Amino acid sequence: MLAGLSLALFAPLAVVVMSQFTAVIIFALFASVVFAITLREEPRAQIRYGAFCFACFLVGTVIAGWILYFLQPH
Amino acid sequence: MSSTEITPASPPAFQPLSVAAANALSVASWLVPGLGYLLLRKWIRGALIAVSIFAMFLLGLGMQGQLFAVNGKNLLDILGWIGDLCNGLPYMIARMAGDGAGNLYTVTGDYGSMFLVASGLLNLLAAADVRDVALGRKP
Repeated sequence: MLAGLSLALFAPLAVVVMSQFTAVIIFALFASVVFAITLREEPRAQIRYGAFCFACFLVGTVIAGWILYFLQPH
Repeated sequence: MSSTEITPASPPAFQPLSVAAANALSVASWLVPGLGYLLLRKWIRGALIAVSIFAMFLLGLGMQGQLFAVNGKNLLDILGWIGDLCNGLPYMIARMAGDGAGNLYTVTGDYGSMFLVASGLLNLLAAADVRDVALGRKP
């Protein structure tokens, strides 16, 4: 029964192809939402902290990407 | 002349639950992401957590990520399995159905594996938060 349920749930899910940056944005979005809800109490603080986490994810990724670009052997 | 003060109706104060009930809610939140908040009538939080965790999990599977199985040989596999297990029922159902075989030949497959582990760890964080809310430590 569980296998059937899983097929019904997951079978329509086609193979998702996305760029690395899109994957980072999606990851940052969902992780920021969870961080904001769990780590802050007031709604205004949650929104502010969520935006801060989202920005940190993106900026950190771009910085790490450039560092790896210069570190790679040319 | 006696005057009666009319005070505006205020919402009933939240009564903290017992430790056992809070633990049960935490387990429920682990098994079904967002369920703990919904049972505490925190509708918006529950919906946001459920959408976030389920979306990450489904995207991880769609990106051909790997669901780790019990494997005592490799420490990274063990850690990945613990992270995946934190997804609760979605992990168990997907494993029973044979989903999450993984595809090492695509870049997104590696990302998918990270999505699956990360969604589990975020779900664990939310389950711990549900316990705090249920005990009245957090509004």
